[in-house]
Amino acid sequence: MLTLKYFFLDFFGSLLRWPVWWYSSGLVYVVKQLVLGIQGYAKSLAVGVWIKNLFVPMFGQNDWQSRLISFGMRVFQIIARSIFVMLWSVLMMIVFLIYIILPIFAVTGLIYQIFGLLLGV
Amino acid sequence: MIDLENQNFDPTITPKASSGNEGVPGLLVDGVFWYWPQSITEADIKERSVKKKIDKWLRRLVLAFSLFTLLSFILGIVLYFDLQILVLETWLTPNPFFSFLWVSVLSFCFLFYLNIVAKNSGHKMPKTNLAILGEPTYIPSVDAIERRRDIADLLRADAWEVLDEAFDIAKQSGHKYVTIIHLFLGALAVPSTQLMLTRLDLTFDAIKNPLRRKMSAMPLGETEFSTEVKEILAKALKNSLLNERSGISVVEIFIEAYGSSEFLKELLYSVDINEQEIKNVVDWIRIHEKLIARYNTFKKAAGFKPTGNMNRAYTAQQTKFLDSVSADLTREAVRGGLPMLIDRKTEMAQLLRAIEGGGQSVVLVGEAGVGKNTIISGLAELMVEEKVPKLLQDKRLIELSIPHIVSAEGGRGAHERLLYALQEVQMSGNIILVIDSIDQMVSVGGEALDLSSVLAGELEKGYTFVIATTSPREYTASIEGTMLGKQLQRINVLEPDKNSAILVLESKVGIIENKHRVVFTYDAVEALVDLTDRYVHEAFLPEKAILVAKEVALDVSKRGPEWAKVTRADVETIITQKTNIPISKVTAEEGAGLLQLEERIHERMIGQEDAVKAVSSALRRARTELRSNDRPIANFLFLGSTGVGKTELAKTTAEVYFGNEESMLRFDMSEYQDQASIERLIGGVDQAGLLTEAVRKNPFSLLLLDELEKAHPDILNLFLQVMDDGRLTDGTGRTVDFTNIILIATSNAGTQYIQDEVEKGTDTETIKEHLMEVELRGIYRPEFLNRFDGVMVFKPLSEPDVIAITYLMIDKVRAKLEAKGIKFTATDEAIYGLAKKGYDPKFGARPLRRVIQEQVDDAIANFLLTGQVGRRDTLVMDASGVISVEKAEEL
Repeated sequence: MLTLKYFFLDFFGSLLRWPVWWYSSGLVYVVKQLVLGIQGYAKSLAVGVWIKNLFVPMFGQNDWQSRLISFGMRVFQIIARSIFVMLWSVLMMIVFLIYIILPIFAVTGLIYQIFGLLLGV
Repeated sequence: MIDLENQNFDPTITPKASSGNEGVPGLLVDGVFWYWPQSITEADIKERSVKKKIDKWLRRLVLAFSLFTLLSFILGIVLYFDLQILVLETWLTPNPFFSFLWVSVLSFCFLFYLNIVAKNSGHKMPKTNLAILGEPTYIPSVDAIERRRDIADLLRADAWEVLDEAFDIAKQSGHKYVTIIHLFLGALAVPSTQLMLTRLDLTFDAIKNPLRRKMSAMPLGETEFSTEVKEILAKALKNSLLNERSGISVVEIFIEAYGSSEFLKELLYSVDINEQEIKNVVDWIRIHEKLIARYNTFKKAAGFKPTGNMNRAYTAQQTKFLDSVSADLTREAVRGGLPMLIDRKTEMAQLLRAIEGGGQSVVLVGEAGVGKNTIISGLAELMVEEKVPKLLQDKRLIELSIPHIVSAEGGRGAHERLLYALQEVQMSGNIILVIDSIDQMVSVGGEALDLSSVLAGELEKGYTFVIATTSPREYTASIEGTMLGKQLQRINVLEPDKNSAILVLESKVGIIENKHRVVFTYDAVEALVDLTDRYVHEAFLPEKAILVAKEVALDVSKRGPEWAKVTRADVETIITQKTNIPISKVTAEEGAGLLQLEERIHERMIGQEDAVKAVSSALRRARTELRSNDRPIANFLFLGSTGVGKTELAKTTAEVYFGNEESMLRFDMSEYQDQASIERLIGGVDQAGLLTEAVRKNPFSLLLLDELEKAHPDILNLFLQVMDDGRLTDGTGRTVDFTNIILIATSNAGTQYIQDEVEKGTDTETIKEHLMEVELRGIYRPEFLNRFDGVMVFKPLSEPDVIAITYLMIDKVRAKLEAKGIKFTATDEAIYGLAKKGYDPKFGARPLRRVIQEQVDDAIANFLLTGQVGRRDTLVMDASGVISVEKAEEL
């Protein structure tokens, strides 16, 4: 009996708190995680290191031909890596947007479906 | 309203003195009063456990529901709509399966919410300035305080278990209050305390009777939490804040309950657990948790460290040759293959400072086993996390193997190979070189193969620097003052003190425990460090303690069941086996033997009661550890003429205490009369000393210095130090331990005086006094004489003594003949006759040996050689000293 009572208290309590949490603490939590994700990815691609070493020849090859090739290669790398970081950020942004609209969308969809079924048949 | 920003202001807040205080106990943290508001009732306990279960089941249920609705949707789509979900119209047409989809989506969102909330549940510990954190206080009423919080929010799951358990115990026994004792019992019952109890070697059985007696006297009634328990919780909060814990756990409750109760302290003291030990075990458990946390952060950081040859900036080069003669320490560290560095903050700071200040090469100078390589591993780990000066960031730490450089082609071309490797270092630019035992470069091979000057030359160019290691002796012998030595900044790595050694051992014990499936008690760990420090020489902490720990673990795992306890006794057994020194507790049998030491010695020795007694007492003191540990076990000076039993007593002591007569190192000091003989005793630059070497190899033995008065005075000074400090430094600079020897010096000085006075009938004390103050003054300095624990005057032997000695000697002859199957008897008259012939007041019992040889041994030898005596026959010596054969009856 006690168990049942607490079960329903817990269940309905959570159900009521959930929407508020989703757009307050939950939102903050998700944003933090996404930012961490972007930072980690950027760190592993080390774009900053590449920019800092733009004019430093790669693989210790110091002749001018190598320097030239190096410079070209580094410019290409920096652009490519930046694009990757950007793409990743965009992806994270999309995840964020999905997080925001998903419950609203689902609720709308559900209402639409139920009303449709009730009215349509 | 009370102003709580000011913490020591108000007379109404009485500082806690002892339990029995009125009011509400709690802890003020930055103006917030943390206290325990609720009283736990049985219903509360039930409610909490039900809630916990419901929480778990609710999440499972939601997960099941989400999956079920999703599956229904998918099935519906596949069966009825023929995969037309890509058509917009399908979505816009109402149908029940799409309702399933949306319900499923919402359900998953709900599950996400439940999980994240469960993960982040519980409150964070308040952050505060620990330096000004006060003691728990009592306030008359909580209503007076606006900012108050519930300590319960900070309790970890296992702390809740303790409270529930404590309440349960009190309730079952019908006690009115849940007291510290209940709290303590609750803590014992929780599973997460079990490791701590094992480490303490504490079992419930050992303490249950006093606890039961104590609890039977408690008042009965409706159970509620006592104020003292609430105070313990406030103390536990303070304890966890001070130790930067993430919440209050069972450990804090346990230690605070123990610390607040005199009864518990006495109780544990009765089973040989003191406050310090509890504190150390708690520290051990916390260190373990810290190490795990540190490892986790390290692993996270390691994910970003490149493990190949290439640095992040792609400026490095391939280093094919170097790779073939070296090991990549940073890669090893990323893999998790290097030991963690404990302590050693000073050395690491010195190392980093030297490098930061412009790439100075360094050499870590320390004995084998003190942890030079672990410091380098620690550096590798810091480099992985990039928590290092700029000069070390994005670099690889490479250990160059000198044997690999040297061994190819029989040593020819080693110079070139080293230069080639260094060239690769230079070109690559992202390599920091480590050279272990850099002295190898100097003393390599037979030919003129001095790699060190090559390295020194390259270091001078300044394109790289090295981190090297070597031992103090090798540093002095082959590095200091050389070209290479000038390039290297010396960093001393000393043997860690006992506490750090214990910390290091604790961090290593986990691996050993898992491998051998045993559990170390704290006592055992402490004994490992203590006993190896005291008895295992020529090796250094912490390595020697770790090595012995492995041996002990193996030994225990072979003998016992899985997860057997390793105790102090196990460690003592292994150390005794290794060193031959009895260090375990005295057994009853041995105790009885020690108490009868005088009788046992007198089985071999006649007379000299005073000397025997003094020696026996010293041995008893030593074995029961009542002696001081920084001096020899005992220092004795035996005075008396020859043949009165000085050497015999020394021999007997060696046999009784060290197990056999051979455990005696005997030095005839008449051989060391000039100053040059000091070098023979303690050794020179490349020659081992006779005395130091003997003691080094047999640290547990009796050192007998015969005829001490003949030694050169400087040698006496040497022994002055031995008797005072229990150690001696030999010619090579090695310290030899003398704390486990018994030093006995014999001297003939003042013999004539002793004889004269004994004849006059003067008592021994008076003789001794005069000897010390007059006769010996010219020979030994007073401070030298004072170092002896006892100066024993051996009286000249009296006639009855000599007769008794004769019996002993004839007994020896009998024992020898018995081995040949021949009986030997001598009449009392025969023995008196021998004693009379052998007695000489000047030479004591010494002539007796010769008399017995001539009169007894020689005659028996003749019988044996001529075949006149055979097995079962009896040799009889009569009053005239003539030996005859009594043939045995024919069979």
